[in-house]
Amino acid sequence: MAVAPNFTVLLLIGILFALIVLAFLCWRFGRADTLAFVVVTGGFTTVMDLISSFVARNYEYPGKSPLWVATFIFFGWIGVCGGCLLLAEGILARPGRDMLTQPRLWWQVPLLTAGVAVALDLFADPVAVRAGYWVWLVPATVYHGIPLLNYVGWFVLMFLAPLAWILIARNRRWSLWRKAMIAVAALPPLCVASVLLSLALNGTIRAFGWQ
Amino acid sequence: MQSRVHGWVQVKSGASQSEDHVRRRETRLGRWFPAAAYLANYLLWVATGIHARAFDFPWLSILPLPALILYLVRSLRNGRSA
Repeated sequence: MAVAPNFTVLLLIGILFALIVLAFLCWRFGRADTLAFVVVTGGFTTVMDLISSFVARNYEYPGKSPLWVATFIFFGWIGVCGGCLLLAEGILARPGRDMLTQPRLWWQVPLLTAGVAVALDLFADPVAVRAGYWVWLVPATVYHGIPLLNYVGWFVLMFLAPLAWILIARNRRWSLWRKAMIAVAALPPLCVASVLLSLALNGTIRAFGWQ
Repeated sequence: MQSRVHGWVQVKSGASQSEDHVRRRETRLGRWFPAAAYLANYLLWVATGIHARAFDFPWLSILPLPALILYLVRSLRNGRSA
């Protein structure tokens, strides 16, 4: 017999994990870049994920309020994105360099971050769905009841959010408030770019008859 | 002039303050945190699956591991050559 999902533990672990990742980012990059990371990773992905859940009705967290969902996905994406971003940097960066100083890593690290995040979710999503944490409301015929648009969404968000953050963080002389304002100003173009990229990728996948 | 930062010796005279993020990446914490964070995230989902008896597809659990292995191999190699 299946055990009922514990949403409180899920939320608390998500928040704790995100705070640990943010503390590490603050230690490595400082407050300004950490604030920018919170805005472009937490803010951007939360907006897009809320649209996916409550507007497009792609999926739902059974019985959970919009506030709970927003809180969970805000901290959840920060934790996942931070973890995958740092792993991708460690794989690609040479000794004595990092993703902010090594040429070409400004796009290579986000691309690998997206790949790493998708690989993680290829495992996590079937577990979460089977455990009852969320329910997909759109047809899925290829991968264990998970629609491929989920993985397109993960790829797009986990590529664009780190890309925007790295481009902001590379400007080492910008003040905290300047970085924060530019991160906020980046949200609308990020949302438009993610919609266009998702439409293109989902259209390509549908052309093969997959979903 | 030399000073110790998180267990690693750094040369202060030739490095600017703006490159602290690079030096910190090469400390013990900077090297191990990414692997630990990713592994923790992975293990939480493994635990979730076990707790919820949701492991219908145990072979899926190997999918996130190549990235972690690649990171560890690169880190160990870079650490040895540093």
